Amino acid sequence: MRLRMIIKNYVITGFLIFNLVACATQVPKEALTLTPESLADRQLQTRIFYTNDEMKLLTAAAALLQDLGFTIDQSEVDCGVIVCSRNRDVTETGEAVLAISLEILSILAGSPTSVPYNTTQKVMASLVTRPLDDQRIAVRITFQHIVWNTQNQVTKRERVNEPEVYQEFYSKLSKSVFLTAHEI
Amino acid sequence: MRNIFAIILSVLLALALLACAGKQKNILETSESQVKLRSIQSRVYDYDSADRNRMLRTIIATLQDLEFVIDDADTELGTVSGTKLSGYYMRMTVSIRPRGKHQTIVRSNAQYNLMMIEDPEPYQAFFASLSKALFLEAHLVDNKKASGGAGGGKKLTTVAKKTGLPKTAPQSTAASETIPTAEPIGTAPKAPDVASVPLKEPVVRVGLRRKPTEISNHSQITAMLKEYNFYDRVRNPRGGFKNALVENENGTVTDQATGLMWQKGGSTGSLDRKGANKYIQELNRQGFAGYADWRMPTVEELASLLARKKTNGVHLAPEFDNKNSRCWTVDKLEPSSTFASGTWIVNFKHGQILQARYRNPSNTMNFAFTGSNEMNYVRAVRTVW
Repeated sequence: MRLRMIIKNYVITGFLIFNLVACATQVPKEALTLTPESLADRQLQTRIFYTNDEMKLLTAAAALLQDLGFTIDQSEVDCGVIVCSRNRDVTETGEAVLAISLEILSILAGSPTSVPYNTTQKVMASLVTRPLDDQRIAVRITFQHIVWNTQNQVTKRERVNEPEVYQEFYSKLSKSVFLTAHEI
Repeated sequence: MRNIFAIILSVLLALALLACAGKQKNILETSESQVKLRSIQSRVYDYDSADRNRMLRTIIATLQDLEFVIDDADTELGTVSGTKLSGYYMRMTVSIRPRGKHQTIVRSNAQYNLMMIEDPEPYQAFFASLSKALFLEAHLVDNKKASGGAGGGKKLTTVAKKTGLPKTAPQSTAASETIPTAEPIGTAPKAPDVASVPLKEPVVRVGLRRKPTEISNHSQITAMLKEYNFYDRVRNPRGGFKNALVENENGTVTDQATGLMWQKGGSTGSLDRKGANKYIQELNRQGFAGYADWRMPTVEELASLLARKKTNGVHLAPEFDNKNSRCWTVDKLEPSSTFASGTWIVNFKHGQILQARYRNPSNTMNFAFTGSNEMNYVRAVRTVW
């Protein structure tokens, strides 16, 4: 009974917060403003290749993204843009185990309630090439992801910030084009 | 117990629906008037409309800088869309279309969660970011020149227009304000003092100090020269500031890089300090070139005219008359035991910033006598932006 109360309370509070978010008209101030972090992000997400063959870079990047399980949603070679995404099961074992045991507990308590845990993740990415001069091309990829739980609610929607992700991507890309990726 | 929860939940649900109901809109309906919204969402850039690809790439780069992931780009249509996830959901579409040969209209509309953004502020922030990126782009083009690359036909024209700017806009802080500003659509036609001749080179804007001050030593002058890359034959011989001068054909010259309007010539004879102040008063009384806000320049402002190359015997651009070779500034020297007071002057003949000192009457030794600097010309200035 107590557990059920707690859960119900959570549901109501969550619902209220959701309401506030859904109807909020206030756009965060920093949403469209460049910040010092913007520069750090740019450095994280950008590499420079000493080549003038933009097409070669785009082709290699598209192939690599496919290798990594992304589907290409859109591309515009004239602007050097590739848009792609990937859906994955991201059930984190620890979280799922906890959630399931809570669920069992709730059944034992006489009121079956399922505790949501994260299951699906959609990763979206855009890769953009930009010639800096006739010898160098900058490549910038940005990843972001949305995570849903078992109840199909969005629990996370943010950009991917882990440096390893970008490092790995560029190390693979530079291998496939036989060029060194230089940090900016 | 269960029923109570059910009731509370349904009441909340109903409230939520009611609360949001007012915000629901028809697909083709917006609450703000269409014209007003369009002006909030649009800006004109003096950007060569033939180079739309470059503009689109800059917009893409700006969206990436603002943490957007690009969803869609179409060169033919001239649109770019992106999504930003940062706990919230924001989607933005930016489109460009040419206005004449040398201008590009940029329009952006943004959606925040499920709401259309109709507030001007976020759009202002976006265009400020875009302007910054245009500036960055300009630098990249400069790099290209430095590396001696063959011209790929990627010229940038990021000259900002001044019409929409309030007179007090850029604060004259120490750092360079190098942001080409965007002009909202629908502002009044060009003011007479705006020369919007499209320039080939990107203009880097700086805001210079306008308030008179007291400068005590040469090292401060040197630091200032280095900061803005102004030329001075002795203190900064390698300097060379890029002016963007436009002759207005009414006895004035406008510098789009510093936002200052200058007298092409100046006073007809050399004047002492008092006479110089009178001359300025007279200019304003007569309304020279149609303005009554002429003033004596600061040393920074006047130094911005020092050209490394001599033309007609003076370190001044050919747009100016060469007669007024040594000019007063408004900036004072700190009084010392030797000198009662003094003023900084700029000598265009020698390409140098100098001091005009007046002897301290209480000093009987009479060492320092710099009487030759006590009569100078005046080249008045007024602030455009």
